[in-house]
Amino acid sequence: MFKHIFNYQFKTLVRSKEMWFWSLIFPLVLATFFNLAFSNMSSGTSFSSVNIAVVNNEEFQQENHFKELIEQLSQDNDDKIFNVKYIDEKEAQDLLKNNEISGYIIVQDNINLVFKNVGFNQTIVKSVVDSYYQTMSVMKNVYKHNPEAIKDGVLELLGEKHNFLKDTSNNDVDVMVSYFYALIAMVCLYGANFSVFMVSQSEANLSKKGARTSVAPTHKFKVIAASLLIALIIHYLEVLLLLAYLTFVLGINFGNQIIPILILTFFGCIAGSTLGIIVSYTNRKKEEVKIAITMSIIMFLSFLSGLMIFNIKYLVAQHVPILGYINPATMISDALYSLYYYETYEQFIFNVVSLIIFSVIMIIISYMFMRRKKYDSI
Amino acid sequence: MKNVIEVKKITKKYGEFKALDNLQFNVEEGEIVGLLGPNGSGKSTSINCMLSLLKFDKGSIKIFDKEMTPESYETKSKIGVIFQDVAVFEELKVYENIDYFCGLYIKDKHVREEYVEEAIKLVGLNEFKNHLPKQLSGGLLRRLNIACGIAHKPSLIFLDEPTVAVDPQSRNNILEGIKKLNKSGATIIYTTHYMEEVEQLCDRILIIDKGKIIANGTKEELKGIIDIAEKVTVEFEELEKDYIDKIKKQRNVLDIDSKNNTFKISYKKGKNNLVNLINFLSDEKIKYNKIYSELPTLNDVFLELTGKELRD
Repeated sequence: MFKHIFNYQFKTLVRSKEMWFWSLIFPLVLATFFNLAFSNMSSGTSFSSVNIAVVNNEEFQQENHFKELIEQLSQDNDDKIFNVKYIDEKEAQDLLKNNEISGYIIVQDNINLVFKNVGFNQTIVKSVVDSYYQTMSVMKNVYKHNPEAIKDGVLELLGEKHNFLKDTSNNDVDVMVSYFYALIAMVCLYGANFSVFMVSQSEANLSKKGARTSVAPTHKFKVIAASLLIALIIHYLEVLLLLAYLTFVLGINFGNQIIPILILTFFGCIAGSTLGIIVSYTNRKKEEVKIAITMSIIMFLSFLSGLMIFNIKYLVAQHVPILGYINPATMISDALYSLYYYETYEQFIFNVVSLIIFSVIMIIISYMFMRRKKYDSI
Repeated sequence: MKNVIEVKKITKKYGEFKALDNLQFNVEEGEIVGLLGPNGSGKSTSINCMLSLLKFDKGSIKIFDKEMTPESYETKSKIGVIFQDVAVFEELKVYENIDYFCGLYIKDKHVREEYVEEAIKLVGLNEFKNHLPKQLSGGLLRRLNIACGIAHKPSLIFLDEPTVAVDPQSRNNILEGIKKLNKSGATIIYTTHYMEEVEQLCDRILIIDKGKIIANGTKEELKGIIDIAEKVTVEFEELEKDYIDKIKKQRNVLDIDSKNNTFKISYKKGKNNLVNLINFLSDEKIKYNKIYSELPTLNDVFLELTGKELRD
């Protein structure tokens, strides 16, 4: 019986043109457009230094390491990132107002950045300052717990500044890869559409096919389990096709982390499926309306994870961090990011476990609705 | 004959609205029972309760002598259902759709193949086996819907308005198919608001209104419970004002419904009503274009019992 349902649900899915379009064709087209856009961007910019101003106040003069860093980054060599003007705050405001600089840095209690708008140049300035903070924080920690180690460490860190600056100047790559991470996250969540499709045709109060299935002498869970299993398998295969396309056709480098990526996307697909299950069970609209609701939710979650605007992800992390922890799209894109940039698996494992917890919660809530055998109305 | 279905005092409420109100009836083995009533009278609700899809507030339902629950898999295996709306997979071909639903009942692949072929033959879809549902006309789609519900050879079949929006040819085909199923031993519950179908098909008719059975019997029995025994229609050449009063005074006349130059005269039981009327018109030198007599319909039964028409 399970095999019978499994086989026929396989046929219904592979013959559903809408499913193929949304879960495979659309992402492939989107990936191709991303690739075209980013390759134009990188060739078009081939990196020209960013015009900024630094407010030359007493606090800045006292922030020696930062001052040294800015000077280093504005030296006329291959690593030059900034064209810096050291001026007072009023002048900086005027230059910003006239669009002569991308932003200015003012050191008061902290290092503050002032921008008129958000864009590629501003992201570079922010990344430099963030990286500086990160480095200083590490140094302070090491000094506090192991002062001996810092003797040479400070010098080493400063000595490695050249590499550090090089990494910073590579932020255009960060942005590009991050968009693809968000895209992969979105496609994983597209599994929700498969679930909506499958659940709708298994429940009597959701469709006439569901009613016909419910009057048959077959346990409802068997029908739903077989349907969701084949949906998950097909969807996962589509995600693998997308990964292959990104890697082999578009030449996107995801690092040498194929097994963790396969694990991550598998759990991402499960999270997507469970999202669809809960949408199916928590409202009684038509299947088309449910698909529209699901798509809206996925697009919103993907937006928050930086699919449309890269900086949104950081704004969310800064102002509403809880959203990042409950958003499966962010969990997937963060895990991919951590695989590429970090040498440890801590962040990756945290994100995978978060995805599993998210899926379990979705299933528990759905089960409350799923176990209903008779309906108040159909 | 033993009872296949026993429905005892079922009440189903939606808030304050009673969709079923102490509904009670039995269906005997081998019968074709018509559940006749206007839209919203509770026909589909009662079927869904019998199938254990819908919760009900009071009462009990036994099918094949067993309390019907969602886990009554043995009972369910003997039941076939054809819902009002077409319920098939758009992505599966005709044969595959029937095979899928049949497979939820019949595990043996070879037996299933045989059953599916028989169902296709019964509903006349031989030429369309490899067509997708979207390639079928409305009537053919309805036939596919029926085949999906009966391919596993159920001994009790529920048909919920299977001929809605179907062309006359397909309708006849469907009704013939139902008769064949009944001849092969299946008990059939047939809901509709088309009285002609019920008269043509059913051994017994249950008239339902506002969730209650208001009449139960053969079509002859039902027509016997109302006062009207005959209806005569007369189309006059010219209509005079006093015609109504004159005709009303005739023997056995119950009521006259006049429209333009036409009278529909209802008679209670009695002999020679039509002959008496013709004689009267001749004596009075009243000229008419046509005159004919009809027996009362189920709509008349429904009208007399409820004060409204079946298709209101």
